[in-house]
Amino acid sequence: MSAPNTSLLEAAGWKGSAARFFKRLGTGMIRLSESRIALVGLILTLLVVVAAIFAPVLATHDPIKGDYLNINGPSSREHFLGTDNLGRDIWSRLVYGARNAVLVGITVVPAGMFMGILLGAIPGFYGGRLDNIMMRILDAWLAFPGLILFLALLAVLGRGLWQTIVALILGGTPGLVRLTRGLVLSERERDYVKAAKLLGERDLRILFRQVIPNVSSPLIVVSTIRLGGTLLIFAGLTFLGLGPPPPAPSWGLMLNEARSLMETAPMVAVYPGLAIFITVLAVNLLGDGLRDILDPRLAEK
Amino acid sequence: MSFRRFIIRRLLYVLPTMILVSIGVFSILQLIPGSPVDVLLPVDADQETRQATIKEFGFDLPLPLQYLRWVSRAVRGDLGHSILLTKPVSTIIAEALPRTIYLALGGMIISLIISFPLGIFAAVKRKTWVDYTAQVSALAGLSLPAFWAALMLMLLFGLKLKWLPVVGYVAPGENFGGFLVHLILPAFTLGLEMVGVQTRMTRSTMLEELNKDYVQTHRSQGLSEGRIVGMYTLKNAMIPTLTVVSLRFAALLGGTAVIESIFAWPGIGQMILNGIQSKDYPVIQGGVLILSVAFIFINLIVDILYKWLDPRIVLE
Amino acid sequence: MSAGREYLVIKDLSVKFYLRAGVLSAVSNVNLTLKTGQTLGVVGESGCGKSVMSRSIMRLNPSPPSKTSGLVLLDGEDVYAKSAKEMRKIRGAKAAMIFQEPMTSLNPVFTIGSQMTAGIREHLKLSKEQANERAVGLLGKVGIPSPAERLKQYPHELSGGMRQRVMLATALSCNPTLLIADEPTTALDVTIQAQILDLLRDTIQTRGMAMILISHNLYVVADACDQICVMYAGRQVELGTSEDIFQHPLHPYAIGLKNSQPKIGHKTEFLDPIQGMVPNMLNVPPGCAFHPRCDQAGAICSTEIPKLEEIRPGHWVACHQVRPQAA
Repeated sequence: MSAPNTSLLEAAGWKGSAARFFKRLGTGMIRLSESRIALVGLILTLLVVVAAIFAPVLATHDPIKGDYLNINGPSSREHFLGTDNLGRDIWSRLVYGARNAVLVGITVVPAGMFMGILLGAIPGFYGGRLDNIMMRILDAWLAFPGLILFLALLAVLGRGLWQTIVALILGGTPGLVRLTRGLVLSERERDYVKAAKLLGERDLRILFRQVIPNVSSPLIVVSTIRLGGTLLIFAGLTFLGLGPPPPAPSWGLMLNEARSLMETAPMVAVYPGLAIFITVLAVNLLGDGLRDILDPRLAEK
Repeated sequence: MSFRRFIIRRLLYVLPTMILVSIGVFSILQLIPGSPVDVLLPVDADQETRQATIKEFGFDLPLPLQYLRWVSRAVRGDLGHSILLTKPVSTIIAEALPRTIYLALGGMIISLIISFPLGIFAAVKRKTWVDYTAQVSALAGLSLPAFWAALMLMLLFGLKLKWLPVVGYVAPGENFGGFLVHLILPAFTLGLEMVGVQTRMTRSTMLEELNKDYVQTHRSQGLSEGRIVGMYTLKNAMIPTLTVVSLRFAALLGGTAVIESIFAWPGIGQMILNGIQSKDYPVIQGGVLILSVAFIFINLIVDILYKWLDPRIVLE
Repeated sequence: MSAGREYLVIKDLSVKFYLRAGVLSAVSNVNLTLKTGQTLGVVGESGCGKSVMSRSIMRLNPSPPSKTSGLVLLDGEDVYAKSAKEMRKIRGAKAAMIFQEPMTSLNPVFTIGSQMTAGIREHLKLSKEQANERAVGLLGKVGIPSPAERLKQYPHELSGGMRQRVMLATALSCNPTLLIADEPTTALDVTIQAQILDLLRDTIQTRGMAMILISHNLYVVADACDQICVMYAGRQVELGTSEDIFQHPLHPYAIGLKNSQPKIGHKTEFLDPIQGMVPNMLNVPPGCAFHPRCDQAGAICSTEIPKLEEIRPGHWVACHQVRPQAA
């Protein structure tokens, strides 16, 4: 259970609560190593991140250049996982493709949290008209079912990596906003908030120094868990031909390109999908593990 | 408050959301860089055609009026004409929507058949290997990219084993057998997507219920464990589960695009995708509008159904 | 109270819970005998093991975390030697239980009628109409007005007192000989409490049943039962007739219990609580579990667990500091 911030009278600065938060994260990390699930998730995730960062080192070939003499080649000593229909080395493409995943992760998750706080915590805390309007907007936003929202957004934005990321952020925000709002709503009724108000602290101060650190744990947990789904959507969008255009090595796109080869070289279709699966699984495991540690309240959801 | 009044109140509540949605859909055309006329007409169209188009679509009118024009037509069923196919959008939708519904229903049913028993079993046999297997497979299912699973299934059943047709659609009216056979792979893939989440949900709901006091009372009455779980506990667990399942179904209607694309299933998702590829904006708008409206309505129905099912709910 | 035949015999009953945090001995070495026509009250604070003990009579403790040792004989038969199927025949038909929270103890999405008749049809093999008739009759006997209409109602439509009566009717529906009532009045208003207790007493008398009444309130139990068993930290500390225990409690805990509980109709300025707190059942004090809170504790109390000894005829106490007296 996250303990309430009890530093009212000292009005500990942002430093205090941030320090406390990181301390909790630190002990959490230690406990993380106790949960096998989380550990596996963490290791796998780190592997993907490492692959992304060190792509130039790990790749054996240029991911874009094709060797036309060696189309759809099987895995060999030279080409670890074989080649695709344009003679490009699959392993190298996979490794570079990891960069997309990492980029999505480091942009969408913080952006989502930021939006969640901005659009969810603030209206939720103040309540009233602002809150009502936000709820209606959220309802409308959420009414666009699933993939369609992203498709519509991309129809407007056009294709490309950054357009896709923006679409992902915009599409994923309402869920987080709702969650943050819900969390803030229940925190608002807690005694320490009422006490702070009685002491005369300004609303905004209470919100940022007391409430938000307390909702940050579940927020992080949910954001991480959602990352898995976001990555899947990203892969799906690239698969459909939106997102970074060829010859960029995005895993979803690689799968799409492999469709025509299903009968002749099925393995070309297996590897990118496997990469997606492993990455998403890693993130999901990590998210589950984080949840067990930071906020068991959300367990069994 | 009577039930009827409750329904009316919910309907009214939905109205502002619908309006916002329609504004959003309308804006799609407006937000695209360039003037809408350029979007609709080929680049080399002459001034006359351009003028005619502007007049026809009312692009010379102020925006709010344009919006009202569009909405009033939409409400009457006129969603414009497809640029590509020169058919009214509403006709295209009328053809495509049922196909998506079949697919979504099929996927839902398959997913339920697997996830329900699995979830219940996992809850009853808590902390045994059954439970862990169920949880692990649920997690794996969550992480599986649907289109990859689709391709793998196509590979296995369509190409290697040649048991099932890989692509295409046969209307149920024409040949029900053919319809089913073509439905299996895409519906199964769709179902696989959802099995993970639903198994988890069923499991956690059942666990919660099994911990409740009334279960102990039933046991003390001497009722068999099978009846307690399968009837007395299940009914309690069903109420939230049913709600979630119905909501997922609503969301599913929008999520079929990828599967439809892979299996060449001509539903709404495919329609919208094609629309995007070919910049056929009336089609895109029409499709998105229909799906969003459908989503809102299904939500509404689920809401009402939930209140109707749970005898505890008191309508204040 | 004229006693009939021996119906319940508990010998050396111990129930342990194997948890992640450790092993919890919820019940240790409990011995009881109950005859038809007798009522036994089990008193103790929360966590003393009284509920676990009562549930172990019908094997209602969840078995993976719990392990039960000892002997429980119900009508001469070893309960723990029974198969699951045989157990189901016993539950409801030989012994029945009513629980503390009537709201959550009844299934919220089934009608009163369907819940009551479930057991009736299972044990007595009656048809739906016959079962309903029987249910209506029972509801009338426990004092519920318009019983026929109640069958179609849901638990949330009834008041707390009525729900408890429904639970009682359900428990009685298959003519069990033993009734176990686990804090049946704790969740009810004081005025209703008295009614329910009277109802229980009358029912037991009329039907010649045996009853175990569990409560944390000594006054309730003294009022409604002939025998009392006081429990602390999973063990029996005092056992005897309710008159004996109530008039002259001998175990320090029982004395403290009597003094600390408010008596209705008796004005007092201060309540006299027992010092200290109930022990954490995962970490019970060595020797006599009560010794940290006991003002009569001696050296031996922290090392040896006291056994139940007959201090006066029919009055058993487990305390090193209480010595047998002449009758």
